[in-house]
Amino acid sequence: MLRQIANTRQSLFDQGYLDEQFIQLEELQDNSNPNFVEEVVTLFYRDSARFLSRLDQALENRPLDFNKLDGLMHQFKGSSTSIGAKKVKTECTHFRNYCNARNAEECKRTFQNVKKEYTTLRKKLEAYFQLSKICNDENEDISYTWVHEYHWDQLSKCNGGERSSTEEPQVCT
Amino acid sequence: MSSSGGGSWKSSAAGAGGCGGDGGVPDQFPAGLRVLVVDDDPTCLMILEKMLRHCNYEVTKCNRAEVALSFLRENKYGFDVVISDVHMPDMDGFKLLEHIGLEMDLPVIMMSADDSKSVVMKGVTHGACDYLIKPVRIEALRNIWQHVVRKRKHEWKDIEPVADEHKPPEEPDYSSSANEGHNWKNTKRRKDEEDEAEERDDSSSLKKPRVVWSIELHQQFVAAVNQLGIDKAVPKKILELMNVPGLTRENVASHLQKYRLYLRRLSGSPHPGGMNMGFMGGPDAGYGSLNGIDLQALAASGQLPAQSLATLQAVALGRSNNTKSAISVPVIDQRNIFSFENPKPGYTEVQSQHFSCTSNTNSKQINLLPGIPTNMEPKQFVSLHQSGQHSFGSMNNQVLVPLGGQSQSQVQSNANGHIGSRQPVLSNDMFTRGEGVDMARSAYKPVVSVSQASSLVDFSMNNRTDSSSSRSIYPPRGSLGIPNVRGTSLPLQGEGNLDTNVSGRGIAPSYDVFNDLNQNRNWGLQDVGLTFDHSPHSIHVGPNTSSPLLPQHNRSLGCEVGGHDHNLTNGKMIFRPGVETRTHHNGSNGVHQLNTYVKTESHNDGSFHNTLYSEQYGQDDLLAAILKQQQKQGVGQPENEFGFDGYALDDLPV
Repeated sequence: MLRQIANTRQSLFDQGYLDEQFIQLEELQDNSNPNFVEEVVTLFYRDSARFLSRLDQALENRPLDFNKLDGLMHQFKGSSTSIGAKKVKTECTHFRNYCNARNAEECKRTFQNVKKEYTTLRKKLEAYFQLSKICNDENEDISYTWVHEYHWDQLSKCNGGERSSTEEPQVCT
Repeated sequence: MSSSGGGSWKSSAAGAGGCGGDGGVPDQFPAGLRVLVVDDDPTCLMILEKMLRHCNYEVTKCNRAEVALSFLRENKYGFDVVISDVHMPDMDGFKLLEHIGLEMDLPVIMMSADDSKSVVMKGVTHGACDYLIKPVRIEALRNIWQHVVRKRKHEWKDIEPVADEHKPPEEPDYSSSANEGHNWKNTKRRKDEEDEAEERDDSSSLKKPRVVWSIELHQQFVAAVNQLGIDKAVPKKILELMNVPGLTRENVASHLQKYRLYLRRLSGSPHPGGMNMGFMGGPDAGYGSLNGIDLQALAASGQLPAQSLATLQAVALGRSNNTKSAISVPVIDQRNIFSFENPKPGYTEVQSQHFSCTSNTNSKQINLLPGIPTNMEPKQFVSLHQSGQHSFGSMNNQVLVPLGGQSQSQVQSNANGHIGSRQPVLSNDMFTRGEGVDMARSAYKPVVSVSQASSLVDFSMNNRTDSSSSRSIYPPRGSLGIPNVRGTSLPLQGEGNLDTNVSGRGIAPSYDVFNDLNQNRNWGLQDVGLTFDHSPHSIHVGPNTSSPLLPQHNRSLGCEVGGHDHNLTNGKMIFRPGVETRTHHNGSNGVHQLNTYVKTESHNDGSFHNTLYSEQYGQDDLLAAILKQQQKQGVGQPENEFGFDGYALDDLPV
């Protein structure tokens, strides 16, 4: 299970959904605040939704108020950056560029991309957090002391040493 | 060095107010560094808070700049460093930066996702200690303590030039000498957080490493600068004029630099007026300072005699401190006010005291108003006055420039009979402006709705107008024999003006009102010079007396105004019978009260009138004129309520 989680997480980075900022958040997570990353992401999605709706509305106006759009997007982008939402951030940058160029069509198109990436990332992160939760829950139930010792070497070999020591392979799968 | 910087942190870390281990805790620093984070983005805020906690800092977060400012104002020494976002909906981050720099002189770090050179440059010019690009990494936050230490070090130098100035390159020496003093000072500072300004006044440089520019102190500073002339104002001379023990030339020099910057900004780039409605309202001090600042500006422009300016400022500042309502500033150009930031409110005490001592006769007059306890009054008065002034001044400048000139002369001559006539006219203008301004300043509630007060204010304003055109409006004061009023009245005026302006009423015979107001008003202003309220003398109509009177009025007005909550009823307004009290003040109270004042204020009225009449004659006439005017204007004032506490904001052009 841990392996699965690790792989999932790694793929998020590899595919460019997340960047180093996300790792910063992870590093802030500790025992006193074990769900910090999830909390931040949840807060982000909750708060940034209003920007998206405002952007949607603003894009309905005729003519487009590019300054306003730029301002809104700037704020939205700032938020996305702070959680490490890489793809979302990239699309935001494109959007702002088109805003500056006063290109209405491209703005609208790019905005669709922004929304798409935003939603995709959310799904992936939700799945990731779910996975982590299950794993943690399972871990708690396991008394793996001797199992741990037994399997530790194998696990570490498989997972590259990622906290596998605490996990019992069979339980997690 | 770390130890010197660590003192305060240690204290904070320890939680105790005392010196807590200054000597023994250097290693803890920068742990416990008290950081205030301001960002409208909750996600960022949450992340920053976590990061800062991980650095072992004490974090306070807020998502609104105004809230942050009020935190800072309430806990003057409760924070070591501020981190603020640049783009915020309620206030521009740079504005916040300016305010903090002027009022609290804390290191401020700006943050933004925007890393364009222009924005970063803006941060630098506005005085930011550092500029972080979002997303902020924890490594960047770990080192923010350096800004705190750096700032303290510089302040240290100011305070103890001998030890520090000559030794900066010698770290060990410096830190050792700094340590001692610093620790000592920190200790002291921790203990007497609230009395800091006073302490500073009394104690010598030993007390605190950092010079706190309280409102009063700033007022004195402004007065000195005005006296010298903005171009000729050199730190040495300013220092001599201010005559504040413990203040060094370096302190003055650095403050002068800031002040110049502020003035430049004032003239160069008007800020959107709405900006500080929100937080302006909060900190009273802000107003005071603003007023003072405006006054300064006015003074600088040559309109305000230094003294009056100082008085005004003092009043404004003092007022602001004392009575929230005093924020006469609203009347003033909002921009000015805001851009300038209130001079440290702490000054009030220092300043006012100083003010009375050093300021010109005007201030003295205020203090010496017969029967009026002088100590406080002047201060309060001044602040009120100033606050009023500011607003007024700014307003006046804009509106009544021509008048100002006239009034100035008039005021000066103290025999401004004609001023009175002008007053009505001006006042109206002023009021309009004031209203506008006031409106902007939601915080400004105090505008004494009392119309009467306004008249008083007007008068005082006149005096004040010396510095600003607005003063001219009050010429009647002059004629009223309120020559002193200029100085003194100004303070009141400030307040009163605010009211009047706000109310837009004519110049109501505020004298009476003020007196009453003053008296009734228990707020600080009363002390100032309100004494004259209770005693007939207060109204002394005579030239000198008039001044007391005016101040009183102002006060009462101010009180009303500033007090937001104060009802005019507080001060019994001694309006002359004929005077219509358009109590504009903050609330309904004011309205009613004013009316009441007129009637109820028996003693005041009587005394007032008596004194007035007997002495003022001119004033009375003036008052009458004003009253008439007011009446025409619809003394009923309630309609004028500006939105702020009692002000009818409707009128305000906001």
